[in-house]
This record gives sequence, structure tokens and C-alpha cells, in this order.
Amino acid sequence: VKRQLSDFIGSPVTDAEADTMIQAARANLAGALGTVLDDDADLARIYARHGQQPPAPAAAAAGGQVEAVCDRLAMLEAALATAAEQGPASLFGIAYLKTVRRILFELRTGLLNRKLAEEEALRLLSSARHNLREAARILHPQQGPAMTEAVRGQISELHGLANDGTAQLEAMHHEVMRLFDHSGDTALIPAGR
Amino acid sequence: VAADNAWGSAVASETVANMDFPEFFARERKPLVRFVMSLGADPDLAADIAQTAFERAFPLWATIQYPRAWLRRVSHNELIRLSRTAARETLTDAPPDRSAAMSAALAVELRAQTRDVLTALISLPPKQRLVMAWAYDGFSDGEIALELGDSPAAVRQNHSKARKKLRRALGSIGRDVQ
Repeated sequence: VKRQLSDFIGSPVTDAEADTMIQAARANLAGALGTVLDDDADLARIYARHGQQPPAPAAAAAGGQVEAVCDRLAMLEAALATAAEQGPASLFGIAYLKTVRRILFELRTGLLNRKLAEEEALRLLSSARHNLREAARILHPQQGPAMTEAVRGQISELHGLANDGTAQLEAMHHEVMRLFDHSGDTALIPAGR
Repeated sequence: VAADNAWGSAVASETVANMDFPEFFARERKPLVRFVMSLGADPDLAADIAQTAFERAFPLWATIQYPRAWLRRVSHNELIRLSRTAARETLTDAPPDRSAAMSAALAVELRAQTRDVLTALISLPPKQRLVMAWAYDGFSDGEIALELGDSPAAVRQNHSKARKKLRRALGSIGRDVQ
């Protein structure tokens, strides 16, 4: 009976599995809090409560770094959007490219709004790379069925784009991480910069 | 519960010394809300408590040596104070005056598994829940013992029991993690 009950409830996960689940939940929660909390307004409330004005946003170098990273993400997004619109709609790999575009948009807006936790940024980057790799695998020119030369050419271009995009995101990994201070798991792109 | 003004304890987990207040707020506000939620507060209450803690920290900023620990201690004490106040209040037909707008918005953003994990965390007995909240925010058993005024052995025991219970509770949620 005890074993049946145990089977019904589910066997315990390992320590490592528990940590993974909890870290994923914490990252999701941090990201979600970033979308519902207004840091600028609440910081201003604290200053106002003590009769002070909040400091003016600093147009710091870090701000420029954020913009630079976001510009590169936007360029990749635009390239993916164009490819997705012009490619054969029925092509399965197109769905992956559209997914990557959506992920990059989420990453870019999160960085621009300074409301993205480091873990969430990492997760989005990793997810985008994974989807691009999948797109590249599916869109491999050699794997295409009998098709016209034009379609074959399009698939080849999409394959190249997926490969280039993967390489670009891998190169950008450290740039994105540099936007965060590595001493914690929270968004370190200060609000208001 | 350690006193609010006992901020002289040596907390090795602090890595944010000399950060200015706005920068610290931007970085630590969300983790503090998350900490209070993992103690059992709903999101709106947790956000209110975190805001109160930061408001108290503001005029003392130059004197607070270990702000991460300080804010968690103040937040925990505030949660206890509010819980006691709520327990003393008599029931009325009046609607609650606290908005739950943030809780509703947050619920939309959270994955189902995140909600299950949070439920598992706040289902722990209070002391174990408290130890895990500190531990997941990067504090060692020794630091937690200092903060809670417990012996290191008691913290280790609670930590171990909590992890065991969590492993079982998470097992019933499922192993299909990323």
C-alpha cells in the first residue's frame, strides 16, 4: 500500500532536479515581477516620501552599450522578419524563424526597458539559439524534397541566415552578459539609465 | 527574529557594498519581493512590504553595512507584524482596502510549474520556509543562523528537512524540467 501510494504521489526528485526546478521558477518569477513592477515610479515614491527628488537618469556609457546590443538584436529581428515573409509559408523551418524573432523582440524590449533579469536574458538567448539551430537543421539544402530551383535557392538563403544568426547570437552572448553585474541573479541594468 | 537595527552582523554573502541607492533598488527590489513571496505573502503584500523596507533603508543608507540581509530582516519582521495585526482584526463585511491588481497581473505571467514550485515552497513549515528563502537568496547556513538568531546546527537541520520535503513535493509536480 505504501509503495502504491508512493507511486501515486510520485517519487522524489533528486537534489539537482529540485534545484533546477526551483531555479527555473525563480527566474520565471523574477522575469514576471519585472513586467508588473514599476521601478522608476516606486523609486520616485521613496524619494518623495523623504522630501527629495529622484536623481536624474544618467546617460551613462552602460546605456550606450544597451542601445548597441539592442540595435544588433533589432537588425537580426528585421532580417528574420524579411526572410519569414518572403520564404515559402508552408516551410516548417519558417515557424522556427518566427519564434526566434518573437524571442529576440522579448529580449530586446526587456533590455531596453531595464526590466529583464539576467537569468531570463540567458534563457531567451539560449532559446533563440536553439530555435535557430533547429531552423538550420530543418532548412538544410540537401534535405529538401523535389522542388524548383527558386525554392531551393530560398531554402539555401534561409539556411544561411539561420546559421549566421546562430553565430551572431553566440558572439553576442558575452556582450549581453556584460550588461549585468555578475554578483547576483537580478537585473543589473539600473532602472532609468 | 533578529532586531531590525542589528545590521552589524558579518554577512559574507553581501556583494553590493558601496552601491548607490537607486542602483541597489533597481537590482534588489525584485529579489526582495520574491523573498517575501517565498515566505508566504501574496504578490501585492510582498511588493508593499519590500517597498516599506526600502523606504526605511533610504535615510539609513550610509549606515547599513549589509543591505541585502538588512532588507530581508526588516521585510520578514514587517510580514510578521502585519500577520499579527491581521489576526487581531475582527471580521467585517467591509471589502479589503488593498488592491490585488499586481497578483492578478503576475498570475498571467507565471508558468504553471512556477506556481506549483511556489506552492511547494510555501507549504513548508514556517521555520523551514524561512531557511530556504534565505538559502535560495545565496546566504550560507552560518549566515542564516546569525540572521535568525538560531544555532548553525538548527539551521542545517531545518535546511536538510526542507530539501527533503521539497524533493518529495516537486516529485509530484513532475520531472519534465528544461
